[in-house]
Amino acid sequence: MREIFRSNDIEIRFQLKKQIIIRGPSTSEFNNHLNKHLDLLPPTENLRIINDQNRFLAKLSFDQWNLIINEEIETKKFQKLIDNLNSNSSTLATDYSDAQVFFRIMGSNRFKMLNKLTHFDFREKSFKTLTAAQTLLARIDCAIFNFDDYLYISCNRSFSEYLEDRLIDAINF
Amino acid sequence: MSDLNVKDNKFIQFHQKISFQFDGKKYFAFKGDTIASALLRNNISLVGRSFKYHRPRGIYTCGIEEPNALVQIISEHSEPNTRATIKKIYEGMQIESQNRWPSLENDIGSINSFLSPLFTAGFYYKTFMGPHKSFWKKIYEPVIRRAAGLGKPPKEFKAISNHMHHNVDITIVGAGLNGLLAAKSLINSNYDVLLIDQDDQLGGILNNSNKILSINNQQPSEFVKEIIQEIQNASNIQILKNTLVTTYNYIDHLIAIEDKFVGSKPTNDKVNSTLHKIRTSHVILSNGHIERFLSFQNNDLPGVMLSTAFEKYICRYGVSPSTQPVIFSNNSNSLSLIKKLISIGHKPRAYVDSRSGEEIETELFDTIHRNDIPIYTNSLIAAAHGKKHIEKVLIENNSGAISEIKTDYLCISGGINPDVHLFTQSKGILDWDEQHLTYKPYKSFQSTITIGSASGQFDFSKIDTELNEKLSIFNVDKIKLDIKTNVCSLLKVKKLWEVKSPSKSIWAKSFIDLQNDVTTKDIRQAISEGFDRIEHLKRFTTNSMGTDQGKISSINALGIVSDLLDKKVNEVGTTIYRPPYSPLSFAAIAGRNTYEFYDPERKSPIHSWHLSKGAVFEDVGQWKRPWYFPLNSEESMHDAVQRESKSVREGAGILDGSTLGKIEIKGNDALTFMNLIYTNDFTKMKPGSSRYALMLGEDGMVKDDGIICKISDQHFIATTTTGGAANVLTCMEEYAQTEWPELNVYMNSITEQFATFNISGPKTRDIMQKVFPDIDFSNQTFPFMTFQFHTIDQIPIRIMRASFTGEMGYEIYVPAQQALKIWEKIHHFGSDFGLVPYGTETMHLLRAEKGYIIVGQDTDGSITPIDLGLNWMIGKSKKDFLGKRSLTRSDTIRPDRKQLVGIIPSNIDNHLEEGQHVVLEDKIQTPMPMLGHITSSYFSPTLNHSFGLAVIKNGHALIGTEAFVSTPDQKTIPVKIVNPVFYDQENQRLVS
Repeated sequence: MREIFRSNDIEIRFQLKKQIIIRGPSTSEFNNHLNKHLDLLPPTENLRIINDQNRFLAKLSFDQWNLIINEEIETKKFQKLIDNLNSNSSTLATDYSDAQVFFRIMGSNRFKMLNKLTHFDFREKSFKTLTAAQTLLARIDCAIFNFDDYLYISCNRSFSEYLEDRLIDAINF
Repeated sequence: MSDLNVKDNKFIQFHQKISFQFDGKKYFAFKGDTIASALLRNNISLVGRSFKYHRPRGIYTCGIEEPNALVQIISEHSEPNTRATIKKIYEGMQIESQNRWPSLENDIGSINSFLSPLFTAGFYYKTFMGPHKSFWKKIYEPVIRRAAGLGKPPKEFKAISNHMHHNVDITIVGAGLNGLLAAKSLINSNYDVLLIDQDDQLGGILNNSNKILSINNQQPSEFVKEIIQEIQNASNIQILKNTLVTTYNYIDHLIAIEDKFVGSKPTNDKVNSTLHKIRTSHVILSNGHIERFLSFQNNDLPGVMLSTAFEKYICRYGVSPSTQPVIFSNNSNSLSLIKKLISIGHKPRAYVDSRSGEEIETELFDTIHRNDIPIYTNSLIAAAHGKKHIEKVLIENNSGAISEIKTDYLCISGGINPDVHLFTQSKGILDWDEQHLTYKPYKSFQSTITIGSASGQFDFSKIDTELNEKLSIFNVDKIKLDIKTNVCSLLKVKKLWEVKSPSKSIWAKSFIDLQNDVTTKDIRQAISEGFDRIEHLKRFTTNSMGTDQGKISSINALGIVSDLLDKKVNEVGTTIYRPPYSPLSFAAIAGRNTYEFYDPERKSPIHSWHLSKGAVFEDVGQWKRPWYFPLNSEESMHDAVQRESKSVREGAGILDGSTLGKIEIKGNDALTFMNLIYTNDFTKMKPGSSRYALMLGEDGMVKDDGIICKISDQHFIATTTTGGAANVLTCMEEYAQTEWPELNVYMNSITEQFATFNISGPKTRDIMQKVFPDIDFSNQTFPFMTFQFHTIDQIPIRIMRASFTGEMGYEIYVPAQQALKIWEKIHHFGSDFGLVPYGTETMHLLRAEKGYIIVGQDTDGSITPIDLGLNWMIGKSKKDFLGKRSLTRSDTIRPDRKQLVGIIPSNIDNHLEEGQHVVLEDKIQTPMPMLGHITSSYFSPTLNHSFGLAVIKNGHALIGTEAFVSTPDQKTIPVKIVNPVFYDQENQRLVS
């Protein structure tokens, strides 16, 4: 974790996280399969997040879930989890840990700052806590995960420097 | 002229004196002044020259609608065409007038005024037709551009502008009386409200005029102060001042520009302007009205000003342009101006009204009589005269008698138009209001509510009724107002579009569009020439096509046209008001998406290594890819590429191929899916093997290519081109979801998860063996087009035996976070074998020598696999695949299609260029048949001559023949058409 910016009303941290993209049919069999290996019942409503202390699982489309792990996990254990998820031939679980980076954004000014970069509606009535969104931020594809008092924003690794610069720029200008 | 300052004014800080320069001369003004009010305070009325005739022009209005007073702000990077009527002045501001040379007073261009009888409507279209077509480009246009136009574009500057997005429930445009009342009604409601006003002072006419005496027994200023305080305290309402809504898009999407440096000089380290992009559920347009002018001879002279503007200069800016103006009107709107003038001790020199005494409202009539103001009823201003400022007016009564009055200012009012620009941008429908002789909103197309004068409601006593009715959808409390005014109870207007000139001179001019120098005579001429449709007429005459879009004059033009055509105005129709409402700078539109953020940049996981080795980058899509690696600053790109390619052919080279698209495909029906998506047949392909594959569009044309790795019948990994990665994944998803939903298959992009290194050359195996000593790289265990998974130092990697250079090679796939470690390890061991990094240019050269295509370079969306000689990649026994049907169409099987061939210059000293045409004749004649063009061309250090790939008609049959390549200097180069594979046709180096 690396602190990018901190002030009274905004704080940004850069993070790498273990992540698995899971694709599969939204059936009870599939849900059971995920629950068996994750010990989490996957959300059935699109763009919903369920979480526990160290992980969260977001349903990002009708057949896609992202599992993001907040804690350190052994490579072997993590690979085993992917293999287990892939043990069902109707499920595709892909290690995405190196593919994306995360920005944790906190502070009362976070939405105002982000609205310099995206049209996305951050109002509580439109973007509730424990929901996610996939949208454009500074013209690149990003996923936004909304928690109580902070957000996670993920983007492809290749854009990480660009997005970091844009976030800082949005604070400065 | 007496003291122009009206010091009982709360908006101007008379204690804060400001100096500024206009055309190099120093003047003083006060904090709060606009450029226009500052100039008027200094008794300056000549501020610019007109667009076409270079006639002297002054300040006509007091707002955004200004057609004349456009100036260049030298102290702001020479920002041109700034409206003097809205731009606030600041200490040290440097202003220049526009469109004059050598000076504003003595402008050579004013000779155009004498030549004006030549410059009638359609002059350009009719005159500059010959004698030769190049005359327009080389002579006419440069000369006209130099002579005409407004300000000069700034040469170099870097403005800082940003964007801000808003999502709200209700947006109120205009914080005048109606806008403020609407906002107040919504305080503490469940709606998120945005209240926008272009001014830095909210209140509209409450600040700008003398029209309202009291509201609910409160002074207007007290009322405004209180209501603003309440709104500011409301948690659900955000106020944007100095913000002009310029655009109303579908669906309820507004664009507004905020000036962040009102009254101070913009700095280079802060945002100068913010472009607000607003998505809203409802729009309340309370953006008021605009006063119309009147057309008469010399109605453009400095000193002619709209009545409401004159009143605003007094009320808002504390400056009275004149103590004794003449007022000319056809309506009852000037009463408040007269009362204001009298209240400050000034007195109109005359009041001229086109209406009869009986038609003029009693209160107006009485006020005029009571104050002993000469009144001319049933009369018109026939002309204004003066050199660079109005000196006298000619008054014509209904019997044709003309009298003359000396004056230094003429206030005119031709009626009032609701400001319908935004409403029409929203596609709302207008209706002609016969009572007020104007168009007003009739039916909304989007969620638009118009209130107040913006809706055509000019009666102050009905404000509360209208608001209660129109805001009822928001379930807000009803309001009750008691408004006492200085205006006539009803706005009455008598039709008057134009006063016919008493002068028969061909130089007499009565303007209908001040900014574009369009006269009423031009309108007549256009009609007589058949341009009787309003949109045609607009373009023929350029009427209302200036940056002001004819805000004060377009209705007058419609009126004149309707009279000429003997039609009703609503039968003539209106032109369409196009966004933006007022000009936007490119800097504002671009926001921060410029310079370093012009385009998002993608960087590979080992970008830092490339930087450290001095790589020169090229943009491939958004990726920054190493183009070549010069050894030092002396080595040219050509030399570097020749060196790199030679090293690969003789030793080994490595390319960062991380940008290649990678897709993981899995599911019970993955094999079926892959067989449908690609032309190849993967059924008999063994797990652990890989295959070069083509993807077609439904039209049978090559869309992308890549290598497919088969892990099992249920699990594949595909690579794609760098530029095609997103499209291929999208295509796969689309077909999986819409065409073949019955298939159980899922796919994920793994482009970013893995870095890819392409290592190739005769010494590659030796290097790989050193880097990965536990892996057997022999031909027997690791043959060409196979792949293996390994874990090296706890890093899971995939190695594929494949090559894009024609040499033996491997592709190594490494998790991105570990990429640099492996890359450096390869270089560490590779240095003993002469391993060099190479860039995309060398890659292109090497692959072209081998005849490998680049999709998008050697193909252009009109090339089939057969055209490329890749028939062998088509799974002919497959029942179906994407694009199969199109490959048997008559057009795709005709023999004279353009086909891929190799090209070699007959004289090997000649060089070929990409894009050059291949022809059969050695003499260039135009037109002449073209066989095709060169798609790739390089100088090969291996072949020791230039060579190229080309797509030419019937190319495969022409292999072995000779042709010519045309050059830009109309010469030809003799070439041989050859097989496109120039290097190792037997593939021995690949499989060795």
